[in-house]
Amino acid sequence: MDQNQNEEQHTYTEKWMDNQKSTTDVISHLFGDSSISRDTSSVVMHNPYDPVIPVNDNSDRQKNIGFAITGMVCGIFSMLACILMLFDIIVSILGLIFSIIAIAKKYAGKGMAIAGIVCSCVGLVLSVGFFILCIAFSI
Amino acid sequence: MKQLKKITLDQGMYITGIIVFIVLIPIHFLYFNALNNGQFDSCFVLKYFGIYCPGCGGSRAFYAFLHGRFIESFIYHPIVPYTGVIYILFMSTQTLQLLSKGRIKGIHFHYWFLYGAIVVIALNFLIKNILLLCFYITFI
Repeated sequence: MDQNQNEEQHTYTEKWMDNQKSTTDVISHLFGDSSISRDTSSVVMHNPYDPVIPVNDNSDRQKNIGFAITGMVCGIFSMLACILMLFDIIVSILGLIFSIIAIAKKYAGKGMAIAGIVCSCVGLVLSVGFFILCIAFSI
Repeated sequence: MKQLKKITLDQGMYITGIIVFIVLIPIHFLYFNALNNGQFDSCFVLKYFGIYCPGCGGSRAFYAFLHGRFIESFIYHPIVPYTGVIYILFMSTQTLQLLSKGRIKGIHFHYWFLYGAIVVIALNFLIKNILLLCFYITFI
């Protein structure tokens, strides 16, 4: 059973290699390119029976979507808790840091990171503004 | 070496939801019932500067929501019922999915939940301040 399968695989590979050679002939005939030779020994042959492993370049970036989400959540919280002034300033800065990291390192969730920067800036401006007004009016 | 199982975004949010629930119950009983007895001081931003801050009415809205007064909660601050409804739906359906071993599908965490929260906060801040400054309508 295994021997039959190996023979079948070998036949298929030979046919595929012949097909590659004939393709090279057609190209050289059409374009008159003599540099294209029939020697296919330098060409890396892939076995059609090998499993195809999909390559996803964005997998690492998708993993780090947490930076954008955290930045946005910190931004929303900093807007709501602007009354807490000093604590809110820390949260706003954290939101800014997370969002800027997400944009600078080109992680996923760019829209959320921008929203996080905007919300953190609004929260920071409000909390710093109220803090300055409190000092000015000695509240 | 045994590899750690990867946690999906929904699972992470579900764990966060459980932690929030564990933290909120003592806050509710300690802060609202034991210390304030349901009475709230006015926000100092409103008291001294005459405008609503983006979080004005949040404590009242939270207290009203926990006591089942949803319309009152919405009027105080709409972010509380908005978050509450999403929280209850997400946690209940995810729990059902967990208990039924995936036969019942729970709702997923969507990013528009967060964008919606920003819109609600911004609209609440603008509308309440316009009504207060132009028409002298108060909500708290």
